[in-house]
Amino acid sequence: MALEANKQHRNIGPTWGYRAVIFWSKILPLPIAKIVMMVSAFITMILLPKQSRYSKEYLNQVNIKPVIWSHVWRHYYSFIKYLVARFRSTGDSSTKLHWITEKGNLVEKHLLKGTPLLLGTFHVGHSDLMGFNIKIPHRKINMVRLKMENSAELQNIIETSVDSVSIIWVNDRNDLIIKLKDALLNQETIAMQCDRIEHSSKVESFQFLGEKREFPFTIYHLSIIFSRPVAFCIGIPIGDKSVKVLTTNLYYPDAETRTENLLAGKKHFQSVLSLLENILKENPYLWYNFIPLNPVSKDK
Amino acid sequence: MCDNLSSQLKQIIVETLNMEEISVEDIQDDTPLIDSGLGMDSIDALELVVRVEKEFNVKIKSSEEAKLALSSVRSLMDFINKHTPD
Repeated sequence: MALEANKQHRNIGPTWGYRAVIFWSKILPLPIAKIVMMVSAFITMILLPKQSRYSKEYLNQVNIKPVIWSHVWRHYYSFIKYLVARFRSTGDSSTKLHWITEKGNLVEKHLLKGTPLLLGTFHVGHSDLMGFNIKIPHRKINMVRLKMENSAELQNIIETSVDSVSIIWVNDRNDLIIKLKDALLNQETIAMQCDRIEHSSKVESFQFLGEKREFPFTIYHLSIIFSRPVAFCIGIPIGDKSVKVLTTNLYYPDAETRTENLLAGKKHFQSVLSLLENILKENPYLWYNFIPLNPVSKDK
Repeated sequence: MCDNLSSQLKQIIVETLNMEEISVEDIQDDTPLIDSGLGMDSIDALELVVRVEKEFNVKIKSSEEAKLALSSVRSLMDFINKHTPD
């Protein structure tokens, strides 16, 4: 059954802009591509006033004061550099990214041992690219995504260059239920982004950027239902060719009752969001959500 | 058998939803399970599917089957009755 793509132009810009980035990232050498990226960031800033306003609001929250146009431009430029890195990292091997992980990284250890994990991440830095980097023999990773009008390109990249990764689209609820169930019962690893609340079944409030804000909490419910550990990974770009991967400790749903497990999950996710907040304070332009910040919770 | 299955399913639903204000008696056989009815979301529905498959030894294989089976308690009962191994 073909899934209907979400028509909303969520986050940045129209589909043609996305396609243009793909086109010139394939044909131009990196130094020239960089100049085109800088100009594109400027044009994007002018053409998308609503997204620019959201960028300003976010940058203000993350403590850049006063926010001026050059900060917003840097925010767009950072995002466009990520888009280009995404296509280059899955293209020819000479442009692939170098991944720096800490020694004894718990997440890698568990994946190598074959432990199926629930991997959480955010629309931050090069986190999304890690799915392409995780190559564990005979171990499949499923990325849970919302299908948008421009998702065909991502699907194409994954199908043609990464055999161990597949996508579970959230657009069709019944399809999502069956695919998630089959993947989890087959001991496969699931990777999902846990910052945007639209289309998220379970939402909870957490302290983030000065307020109690709503975040998706679905990953912890899946963890409890299927007794799977949860870990978060965040990829921070270092220059043009390297990515530093930060991983959190693992959450295990091993308490006696569901209520206790949910409470432990909330504590874990709060520590993850505190880490994320610190990362963003040091690297403010890596937050790739050009939409309103997560809503402030009504019950404070 | 039908009454028994209906009660069993309603009990599983109450446990899955983990809602104190809903009791087995509040759920009618025709009450929609998702959204406007009992208000189950995707993850509640996923948990219900996992429990039903385990307890009744059936398998919901496709999104079409899920759509049909999860529309009400009665449709879930019909699915189980049709697919339970003899």
